[in-house]
Amino acid sequence: MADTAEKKGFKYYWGKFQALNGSSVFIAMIVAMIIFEVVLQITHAGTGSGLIFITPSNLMMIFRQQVYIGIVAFGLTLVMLTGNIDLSVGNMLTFCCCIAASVMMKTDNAALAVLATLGVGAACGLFNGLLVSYVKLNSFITTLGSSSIFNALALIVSAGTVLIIPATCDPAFLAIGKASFGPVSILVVWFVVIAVVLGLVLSRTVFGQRLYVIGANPIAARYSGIKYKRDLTVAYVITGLCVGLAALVMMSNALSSNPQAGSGTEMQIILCVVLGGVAVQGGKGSVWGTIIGILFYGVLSAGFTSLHMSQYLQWVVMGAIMLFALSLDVLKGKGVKLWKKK
Amino acid sequence: MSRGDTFIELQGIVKLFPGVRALDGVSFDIREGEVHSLCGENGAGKSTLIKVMTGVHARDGGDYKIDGKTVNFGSTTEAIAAGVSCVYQELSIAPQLDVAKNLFIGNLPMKGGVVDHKTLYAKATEILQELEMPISAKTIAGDLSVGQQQMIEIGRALTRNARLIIMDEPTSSLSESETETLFNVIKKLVDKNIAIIYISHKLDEVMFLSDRITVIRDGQNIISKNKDEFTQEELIANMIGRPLENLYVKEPAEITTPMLEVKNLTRKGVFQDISFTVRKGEVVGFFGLVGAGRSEIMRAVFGVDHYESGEVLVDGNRLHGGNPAAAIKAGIGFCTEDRKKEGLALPLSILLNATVVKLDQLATAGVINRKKQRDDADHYVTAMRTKTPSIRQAVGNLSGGNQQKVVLAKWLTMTPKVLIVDAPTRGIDVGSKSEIYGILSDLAKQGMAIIVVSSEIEEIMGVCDSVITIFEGKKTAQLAINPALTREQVLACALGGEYNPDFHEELEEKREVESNG
Repeated sequence: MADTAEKKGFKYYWGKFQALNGSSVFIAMIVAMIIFEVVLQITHAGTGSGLIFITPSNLMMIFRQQVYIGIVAFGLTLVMLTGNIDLSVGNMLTFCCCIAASVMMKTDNAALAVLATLGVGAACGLFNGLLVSYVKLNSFITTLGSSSIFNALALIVSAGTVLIIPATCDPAFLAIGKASFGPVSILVVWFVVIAVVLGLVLSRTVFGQRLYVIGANPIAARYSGIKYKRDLTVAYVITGLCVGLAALVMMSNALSSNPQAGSGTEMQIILCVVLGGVAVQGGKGSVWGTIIGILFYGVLSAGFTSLHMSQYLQWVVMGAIMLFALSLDVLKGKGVKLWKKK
Repeated sequence: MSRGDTFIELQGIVKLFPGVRALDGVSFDIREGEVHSLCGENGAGKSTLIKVMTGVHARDGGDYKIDGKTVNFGSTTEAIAAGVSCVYQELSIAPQLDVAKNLFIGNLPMKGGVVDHKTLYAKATEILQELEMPISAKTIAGDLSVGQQQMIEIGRALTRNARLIIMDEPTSSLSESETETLFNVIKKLVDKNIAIIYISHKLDEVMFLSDRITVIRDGQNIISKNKDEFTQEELIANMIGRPLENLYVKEPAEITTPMLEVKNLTRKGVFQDISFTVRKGEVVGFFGLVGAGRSEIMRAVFGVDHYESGEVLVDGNRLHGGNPAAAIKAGIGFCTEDRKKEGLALPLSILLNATVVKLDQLATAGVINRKKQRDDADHYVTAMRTKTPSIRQAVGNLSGGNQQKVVLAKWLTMTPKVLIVDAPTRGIDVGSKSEIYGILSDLAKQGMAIIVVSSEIEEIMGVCDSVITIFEGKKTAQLAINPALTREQVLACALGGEYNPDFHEELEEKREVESNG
């Protein structure tokens, strides 16, 4: 026992760092960034000078691309902590985008668009939440089904066409995604605000802490007087609200809604959350971890693109990474040692 | 090799975990055909030792010899091949498969590349007979009782020609008759020259079964002797490292007004017409055989199960049924029988587990006052002498006794008016047991109304003011506990009769026949 105190120092802090949620993903992200840099330097040998991948502007670009799915991933973190999942976030995002665009086209009233979009997001979340917690449907199946409903609703609202918001629309709407505070884009502000708010909700509030208990042991949660149905439904509604916000920010930037805009993003979003260390069985994870997951995903995606990897191949690689991360998670949960210590 | 020869030797086994010497030079040996009990408090290193022996952990020092040859098992499969099998507390039965396939799982008799069903069922039937199990080899394993499933696990060890079978708390979820069968089977195994390592917190079982006993404390073996050279007091003293004056602690408390009143509670097919009252400062025991409905009554009172008729009053106020949150609000705390399944969120911290029922009170506008939360958890965790480096530790890392203290802390933080404890000392060591009895006694003195549900009659008689016996879902008696009350009286009521001398005699006769046979 006496020798542990003396060995404090690097090893001690290393241990503390490793204990942090998502620390290994953080290291993996740094390694990936260095690899991309080295490969790009080799392939571009002689053409340029200085860093290519690890530049402030490139990293900022990566970050900006991650903001939409990041906002949704924070919401989804709450749901996944309870051991459930929401596969419908992608099509829910499409649906919310169509709502925002069509309200703007018809009324040109920013306040109305915001209310409608957030309202629809919350309603979609409520729908999922009620089915999962009160009807006790499996969340995987429920949200797979609702995903198809949201997709169809998006097509109905948009009549299958691309909705275009005129660039001369209510400036308040444009501000949602395009304003900046000095050098800081409002995208960064949204990302940070949602991360901080949901991070605090999880770590500091009764509701957040209950989500952990529900995820870790739903039976014990019931025996502890936790109204898990209500809490779970609220988690889904919060995810829906995050989707609504992401749709607003997205529409304000793009000003056009494609009836396929968000479809398929659920996989990216889930990948971010899983990479960030939220256990699929629930009970483990944090918003901090999810932030790392989101950034790591961004780095990988940008890196692959800069290496001219085709989009299809990227999907293959991303899918493989997600399955790998999930397997690690499950194996660790079972106590399987992945490498033996000498 | 013949009976009584040493065939397994462990010398100076060391196992290190980060920051802990879990095993610090344990030495002992196993002889052919002996029952060797391993005793020690939770966290003494028994489980680690077993895991080293069965190839789950690699040892960090010392020598492990079988038949004089040093072995280094890299997996449980290697250990099984060398004749060392283990029946764990958590059973590993495939519930959808039949008994025969479970017996020969991983080792099915083959003929020409396909399973040889004829040999399989013939061999399986043989083993079932050996185990005194009157069931078909084609029974689906999931339909068996826990005790029968455990027998299948023992049978599985037999199919693999085990020379040593390690049994870790084998009787913790067995009924009395199942325990008896297990003991008979152990006798048979011993006759076949198979050695048994027997681990149990139930010391009377240990004293009854063992040839030799080894006591482990703090990762070291303290003493290894023949059973005849041990007294139970000596055994306990060696386990906890000091003499234990009194296992059961019950100080008189002032019993005043009724706190919990249950009237005519009925749930069809489970329990009928249950009425009782628990007053401030009173400790009421609930005793009955496994399956009599004791726990089910408590679950209904607390609201996790529904009931059809009757009512529950807490401090005079009627409680709405089927709502645990309301029961907690009214002041009922419920330490359930299965702490891992119903009591604790194992991956989460002690801090959160200990304060989970009280989070609302610790928060303003939904935001938890973390200092208050820490102080609260700290207070109860320290008051109960829970052994842990920090309250940030995951509960799953604690030993059974310490986990039980966290469950108690969880309910005490909300200062309940009524505390129901179901099997409060199940699977925990004798030192922690005594501490928990002390805590219950203190709580009663402070004016809490306490219900203790247990299948251990000594426990009930040691810590309660009175005992309610339950038989087949009905209350058969409420007896005041005083020196005049005997075990047999309580047992008779729990078996459905009222106390009558004839029955008493019958019971005595039955015992004598058993001990002679």
